[in-house]
Amino acid sequence: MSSPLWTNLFSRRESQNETIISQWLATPLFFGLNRKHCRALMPNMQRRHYQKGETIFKEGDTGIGVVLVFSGEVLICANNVELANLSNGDFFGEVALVNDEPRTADAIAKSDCDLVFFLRPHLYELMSVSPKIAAQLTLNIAKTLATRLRKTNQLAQQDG
Amino acid sequence: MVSKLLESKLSRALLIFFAMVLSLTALAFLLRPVLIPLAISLLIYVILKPLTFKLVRNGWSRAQASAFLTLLLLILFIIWSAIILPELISNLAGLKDDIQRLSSLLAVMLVDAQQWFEKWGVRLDTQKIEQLLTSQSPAINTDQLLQGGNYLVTMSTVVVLVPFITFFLIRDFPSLRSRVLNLLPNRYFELAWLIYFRVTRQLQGYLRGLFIQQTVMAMVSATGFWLLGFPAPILLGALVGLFGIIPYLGPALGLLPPALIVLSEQPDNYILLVYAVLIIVVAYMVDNFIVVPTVIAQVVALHPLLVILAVIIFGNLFGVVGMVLAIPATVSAKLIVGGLMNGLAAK
Repeated sequence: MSSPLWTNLFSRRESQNETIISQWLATPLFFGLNRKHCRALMPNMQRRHYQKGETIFKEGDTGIGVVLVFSGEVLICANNVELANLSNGDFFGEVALVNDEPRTADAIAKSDCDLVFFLRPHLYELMSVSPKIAAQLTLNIAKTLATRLRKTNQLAQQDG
Repeated sequence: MVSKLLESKLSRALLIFFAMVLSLTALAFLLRPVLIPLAISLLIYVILKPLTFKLVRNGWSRAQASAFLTLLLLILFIIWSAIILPELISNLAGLKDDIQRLSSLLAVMLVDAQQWFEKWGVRLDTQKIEQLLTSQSPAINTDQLLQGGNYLVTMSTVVVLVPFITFFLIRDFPSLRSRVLNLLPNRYFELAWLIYFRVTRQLQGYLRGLFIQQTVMAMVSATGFWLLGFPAPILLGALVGLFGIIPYLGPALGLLPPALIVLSEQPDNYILLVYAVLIIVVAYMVDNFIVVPTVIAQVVALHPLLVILAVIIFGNLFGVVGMVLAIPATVSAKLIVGGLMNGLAAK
């Protein structure tokens, strides 16, 4: 019979990884990818813990990755205006996956939260190792950015 | 005063940079018993990285790829030990004899020069010069090199540890890297990854380029030496490739061993000396017209003046090792300080 201590230790980590995979797969960024593809990407995913009120990044910071909210809540704001309130399963900062430009808004932890980063250099590395998956991911990023652009245009038209 | 100084982004960047240099030096000091095998394994990992990616792209797991590549390395090492190493050792012994012969030849020439100078009323202290020549010769002591206790200990450590470390580097490097970089505070985590990727992309490109460049140089010159009937062509070619990693001085140093052989064995055969120069020139032409534009170009974007200054300063501080490390160290410093300045400006 296996020791419950060890079983729990391993299964907790594994089940958390599976939850992260499920959350990524539910986003439009990972559309068309399966669990096996996602599992192969997990060693490159950076999981970090932020405390309530901690700045995740500021407008103008150099950003190199998209961030998934694994647990907790994150506030996105610019010029002291609240732009979005994100909770588990949401993602932000995908612009940084495409280019070297500075972050366009502030991100602050609204509660204690766990975030998962997927970084641009890892996407480039994926292009060398699994070009098909990388191509699908790049297409998804383009679609996501196009959707955001369309929504921004609609908002601008409504305001105008 | 201090707080005002720390407000400047350049001084903050330099402070962090020097703290990094200090920490790395301390780490190198701690790791010094395994520093050589670790450095060799890292070099092999970098050179084999494109091949690892190719295998993974074809459906191999990282563990399978690392096992295959380590096995391939071991086979290559066995072939090298069985075929090329004995040849190199006998060549080295021959080179030692040539140097001894050259030193006696120079002593005779010195006596002639003394007589010639005395005709003009100038007196040379030939004893001192001769003493200097004999103390410098033989420059390559093969007995010491191959039978010294330290050499055997170092070699056996390298032979045992390198395949072991290389296997784990190929298999686990991404997760090891993530664990180390995850130790950084949240605020600097993205900046650290950005600088890490910029520095390693340039360094890895430079190292792979340098490896290909010197292998081509060694092969071209060894073929040339072999075709024109020079003794020990493999050793001479290998030395051209090895010296080639020293910026600017490489070609001159690469010419030294064949010139020594010609001067000691056939001192009047100037044609053979011209051939030796020609072989080196051809090797460097192949390098400059084929290898550099296709492999090296754009890998390291450094101003030539900065390269020369770096080579002189590092050479002065750390000798030949410093000259070899001058370019990668300068590239790293430039990227780290530049990256820190950009990143810290926003914070």
